[in-house]
Amino acid sequence: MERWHWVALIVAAYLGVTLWIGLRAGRRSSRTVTGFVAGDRDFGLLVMYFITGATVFSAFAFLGGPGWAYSRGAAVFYILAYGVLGIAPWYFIGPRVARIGRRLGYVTQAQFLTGRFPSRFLSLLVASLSVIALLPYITLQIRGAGIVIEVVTEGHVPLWAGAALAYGIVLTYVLVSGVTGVGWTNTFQGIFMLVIAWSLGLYLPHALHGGIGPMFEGILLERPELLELPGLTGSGAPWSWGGYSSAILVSAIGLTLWPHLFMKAFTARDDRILRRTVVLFPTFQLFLVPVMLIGFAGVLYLPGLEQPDFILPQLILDVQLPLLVVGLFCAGALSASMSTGDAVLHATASVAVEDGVKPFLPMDDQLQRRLIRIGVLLAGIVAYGFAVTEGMSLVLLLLTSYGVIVQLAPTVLAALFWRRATTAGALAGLVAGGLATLWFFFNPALRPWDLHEGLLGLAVHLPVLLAVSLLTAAQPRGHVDRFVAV
Amino acid sequence: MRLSRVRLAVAAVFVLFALAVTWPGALLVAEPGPLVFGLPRALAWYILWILIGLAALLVLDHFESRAGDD
Repeated sequence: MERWHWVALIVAAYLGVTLWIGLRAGRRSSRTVTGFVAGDRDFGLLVMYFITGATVFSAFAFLGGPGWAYSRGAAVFYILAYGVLGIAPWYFIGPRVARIGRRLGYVTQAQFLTGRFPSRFLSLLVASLSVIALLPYITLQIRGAGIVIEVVTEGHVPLWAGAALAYGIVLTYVLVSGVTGVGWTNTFQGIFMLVIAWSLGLYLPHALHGGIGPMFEGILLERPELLELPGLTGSGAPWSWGGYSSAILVSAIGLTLWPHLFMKAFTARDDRILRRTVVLFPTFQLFLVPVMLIGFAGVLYLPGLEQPDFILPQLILDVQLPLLVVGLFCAGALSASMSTGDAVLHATASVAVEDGVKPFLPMDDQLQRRLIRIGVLLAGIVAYGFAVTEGMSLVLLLLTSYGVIVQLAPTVLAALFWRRATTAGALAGLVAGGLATLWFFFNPALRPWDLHEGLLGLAVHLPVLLAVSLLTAAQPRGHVDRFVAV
Repeated sequence: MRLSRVRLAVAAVFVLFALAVTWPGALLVAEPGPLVFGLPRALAWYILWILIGLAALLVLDHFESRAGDD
């Protein structure tokens, strides 16, 4: 047998185990929409910890993280900075949202928002925003899986086939088991990812440079600019402090507002579990450290790589690691991709049906479940289509959507804490903030201090939300009490 | 210690966190060398703050669950 046969065998075994776990998990949940979308609100600490952690750490963390460290140096540290900052407010906000969801029967973010601010337009707006933001996200995960399989099988399994195989499995367990399948596979994949990242992150600097210290001393000597904050931009010029700092703030504010994470508040068994998930999240964040070490290990060993995102698979192949390690690495990277892809696929379809269709077309539970399944399939096929065709500027789309997702922050906070907020104010703020974000995205030269467009969008959003709310009639007290006084 | 004070203190830690990892706090560790425990100064600084954040959340959770049990 050739080398790549062995690698393929290990990967196949890993995929088999994942499928088995995903299918088995579904036996636990009820055949209702709450069962399919929110796991009957019965997730315990272990699953909540990994569903949050593994969902955040995507193919981007596994491939993009080392790529950034390799090409942009200290700029990559921003990923370390925002996670803990972003999750901390969730300690208070998450349980509140969960309580309201339990009481009023919500399973999505838009249901929660339109509960406080009744408007079908708002529901449709949040649903379309989510789908537009999430589709490129899934596409990147599928592409990541395809790339990994193609590289480690030395091109014998092309990108389209590898991506189809990995995501065929994801589709199967998401369709059969819903969010319960996502939860239990993420637990398995999360553990896998942690072990692989730490072992490679410690092993590669040792194998290539004789240790982490000597590795950084070498970089300090030959490429000191890489270790100086705030690092470099994609083109190799020094990054600005304004750009770096506002990227951290926007990512932190946006972290829990991504629909696939926000919705997980509705899956926790009780408040305590949700809180513990937040408390433990920083331990998952530390997992990014070894991932960055891998990228830095490549700086002096493999200089001048044109596609920095390939640094990790390239190093793995170049160093001639034992076959078992190559196979396990590949499975680890697939874990990262699939554990994000499954949650996002599931969220996209749930949101599209629950918030985009149901408010306009009343339907029973059974039909909803069927429609969500069709949605999962459709989203998977569309994203796969994008993933295997070259030339789509996905990263661009993803970056834009990040700024737009952040605009949900004032709306969520107003829904929970500000009695005087009104539907008109929420809508006007969201539209104004979203448009301002897009405008600054396409006119980067006009951004003061190189600030992130999402932050500038917020600067427009907040005054509009305040002014329009105060100018329109307040909501009835009894209605507001169901959201604010919990 | 009263719960409201603990909450305030934890909130203050996270405001400091935000200032420490962005401009202007991060200027303290902007220079590339010398290394700290074999790591670039900025990396060591960020790991330190993640650990501080973890500790703050643990303390908060301790007091919150004690208050919840009463």
